[in-house]
Amino acid sequence: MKKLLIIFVLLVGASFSGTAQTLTGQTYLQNTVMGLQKGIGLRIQTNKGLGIGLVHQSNLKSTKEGLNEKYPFYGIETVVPLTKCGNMRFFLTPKAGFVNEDFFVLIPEVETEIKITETFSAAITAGIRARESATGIKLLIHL
Amino acid sequence: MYKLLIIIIITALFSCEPAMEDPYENFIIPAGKHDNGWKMQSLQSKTLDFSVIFDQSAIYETITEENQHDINKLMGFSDCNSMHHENSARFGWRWLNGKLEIHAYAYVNGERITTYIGDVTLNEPTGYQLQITADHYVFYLQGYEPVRIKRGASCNKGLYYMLFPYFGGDEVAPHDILIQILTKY
Repeated sequence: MKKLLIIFVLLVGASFSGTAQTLTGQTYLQNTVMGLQKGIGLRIQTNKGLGIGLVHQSNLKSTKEGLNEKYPFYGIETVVPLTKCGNMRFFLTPKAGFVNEDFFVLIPEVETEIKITETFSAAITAGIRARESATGIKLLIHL
Repeated sequence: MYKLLIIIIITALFSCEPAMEDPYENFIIPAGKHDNGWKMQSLQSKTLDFSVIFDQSAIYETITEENQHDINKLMGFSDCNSMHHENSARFGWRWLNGKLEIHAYAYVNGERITTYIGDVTLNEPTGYQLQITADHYVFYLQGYEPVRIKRGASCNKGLYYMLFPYFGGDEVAPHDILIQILTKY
């Protein structure tokens, strides 16, 4: 499954090949109903902000004693620009993928990115996990 | 300015005091309805673990006497990429003979299978756990022996959508019914 996702992202990335692109690494923390999760990701974006990426996130610690229940999520995210205001840009960043290997989930999410330097941006995110709000902070590194 | 904004946002997101509100979610099935509206959620792991409180509103009398034996649905999930009338597992409940009965309620390849598990007390939280193994659904009700129902032919990787409280059977809720549920992760 992971190989399929990587191939999919590479294909979409290749489709951007006629336009200017940015490769962006991201690391984040997200407060979800399952607990505090850490995440990493890689996305490719056009200059207009449209993009796609791969993400992985899981709980910082197990939720149930004696069980390794960390709700690992592997998936893809799409990045759709909404608007921008000065150094701030607003995106729709829905994710789709699998939790605990087998369980397909869709995660609607929005992201507000604040440019700090040419290379670094910070972002806050708001999404929905299991019918509950999920808020997070992100560090984006434009490669 | 932006650094200050970031610090304020981080503080707001992660330093809040835990809310003192009731952690249970209230599902109110209104009189004349089967459920309290459409909800979309997918299962996140092989174990669905939750606690439920029924109150006096779980006591009801059906219009037609035989419908008193119908099993209402509590919570569960459809199996991998199946519709819930094809392959699914839920806890069921009914008020019968002055007791609140809990049942295992499953569809396996379109066939409905129910098994009585035990009784629960009104106004007291009771633990429920529904596990998926390679070939069984396992229903755990606090204080009772687990009940196993064989799974139908199904995949492992896919969408498992959650199923929420539903009154009926044939009849709709005769009055507002409150079911409090706390899902544990």
